[in-house]
Amino acid sequence: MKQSGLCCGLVVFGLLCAKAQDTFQLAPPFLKYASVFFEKKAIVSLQFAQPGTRIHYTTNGETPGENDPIYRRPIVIKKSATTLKAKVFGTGFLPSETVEATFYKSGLAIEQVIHDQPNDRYRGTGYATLTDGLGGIAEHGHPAWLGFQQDQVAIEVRLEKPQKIRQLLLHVLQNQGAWIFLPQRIEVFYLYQIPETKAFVWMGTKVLDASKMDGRVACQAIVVPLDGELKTDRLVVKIYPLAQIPEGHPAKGRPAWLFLDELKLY
Amino acid sequence: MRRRNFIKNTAFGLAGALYIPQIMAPTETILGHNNKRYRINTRWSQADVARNPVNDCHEMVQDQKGRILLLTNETKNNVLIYDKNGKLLDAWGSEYPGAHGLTLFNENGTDVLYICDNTRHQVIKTTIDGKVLMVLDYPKETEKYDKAEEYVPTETAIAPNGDIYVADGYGKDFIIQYDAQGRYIRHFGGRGDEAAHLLNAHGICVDLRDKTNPSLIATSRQQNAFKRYDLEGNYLETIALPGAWVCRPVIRGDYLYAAVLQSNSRQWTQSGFVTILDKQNKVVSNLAGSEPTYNGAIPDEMYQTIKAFEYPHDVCVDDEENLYVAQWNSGKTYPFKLEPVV
Repeated sequence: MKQSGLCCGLVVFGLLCAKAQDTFQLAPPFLKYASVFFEKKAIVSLQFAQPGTRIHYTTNGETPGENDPIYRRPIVIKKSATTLKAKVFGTGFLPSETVEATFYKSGLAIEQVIHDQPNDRYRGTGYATLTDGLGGIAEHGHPAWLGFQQDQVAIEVRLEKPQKIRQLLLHVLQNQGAWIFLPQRIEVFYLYQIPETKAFVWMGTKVLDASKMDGRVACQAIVVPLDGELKTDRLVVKIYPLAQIPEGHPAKGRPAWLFLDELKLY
Repeated sequence: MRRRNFIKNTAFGLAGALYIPQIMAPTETILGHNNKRYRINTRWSQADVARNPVNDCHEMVQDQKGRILLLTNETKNNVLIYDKNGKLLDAWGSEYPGAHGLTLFNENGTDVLYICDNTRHQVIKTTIDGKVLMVLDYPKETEKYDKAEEYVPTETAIAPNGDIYVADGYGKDFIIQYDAQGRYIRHFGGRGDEAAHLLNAHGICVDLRDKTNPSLIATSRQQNAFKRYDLEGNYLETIALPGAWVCRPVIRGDYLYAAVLQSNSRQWTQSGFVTILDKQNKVVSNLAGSEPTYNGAIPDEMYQTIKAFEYPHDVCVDDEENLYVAQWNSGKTYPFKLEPVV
């Protein structure tokens, strides 16, 4: 009995070794969508061409598990700030990493955005890049991105008529391996206009921990809360990119890049 | 089938197996599609890491004795020679710091090797045991190069008549043709906007599958494509492989095999796989990659689905149709062996 128990143990051990050798992790699925910004709804398809595997997804912010829905047909998103998360499972494999994207409604109609000149290599799609409703592809070579490498980036936003503005959303890219960091500070001003006088008055500030090292390549929406009672038709946004890439990065001490693809007001 | 045999052949048989919970049951990983499916063995190499380490494992070939030769840029032993079971038989070479391309040619019955060295900016012809026979320096004759550093050869292919084609895949992307004695004949490819141009001409091979029309297949890796030329360098066609950073083409039988360094959609994140094309240049199988599908003449974008490989750099197909996969920048890992599933 004792011997057979030992033998049995050896068999289990052997099988575990065999398993250890041959158990691989699945790669993550792909999220396919035109933009993370939408008027009425966003349609997202998930892609993973590996027979015998299943994509599970959530829209409640939780990491998908095997009890969450299996992807079968394109997913329709109607609620702003919905995060879609997806993960692949398959017998004999370790589940994939989770991929995610967050989708936003278009917000207030913006008449015009005037911004500083971006770097020549990352000029976006032209003057309307920040208001064209296209964004959310986390590849810095994608034409939806404006890329800046300077101390300060100023953006003037004009609305058709004075409105109450509760939030400003800036959609940015993080890819620290490509020297692209979150900005360290965003300041928002509104145009204070009385006869004979024009001045931009402070309205809101957001400070971020931009120098925190993070290997993820991801889009991020930075929301700046504003005084929602005040009516205005003109804002100025000043963005301060991270001035020095932190220690521990191959480009430490150099100025970081700032990548923007969309600006929204709510 | 094999799993059943394994259990049957185990002395403890079914009784032992019954005590094993489902979750611990051995799961064989089968990679690939259609008639090109393989069982992967990540522990094929029996080399002792203390005595025979590797750095990047760049390329592999099989010699006429059936031995498997690996080229690495580890100068303690640039060439490791294995039997098909992974037993290390021999090792040589310490003067190839940039060892990258390894091509074997049967020269009138004798195996000879051509090594491309990225660091030395040279192509070196050697005997099978490492004696240097010829050195090709940077191709001044092309009038395209001012100095050796501009020339970073990655691969060679040898035509049946002995002509040598060198791919300058990390230099100026020209293919330079020499005769068997190393005399310059012509060059072609290079960078540009036309179909005949190359971008990252990482590999090259001679395709003799069509007996009456021998041709060359060169890699244009950053374009995710192979390009076919005749033996005089006239451009014939492009074989587009969207998503796949293909390394050198390797032909055995009717099939073309290539390591895919990475998926274009997930660059520099260990997203490689192996692709196999049939004689009509149709992708029939991706090992650890997406199931090949077509909407027209060009395959749908391909990508890694299983993290079995990190950065595969070359495939060697042996005389029994087994594959050996060498990897670049993958934690100094030794090659994997893949056996066909029949």
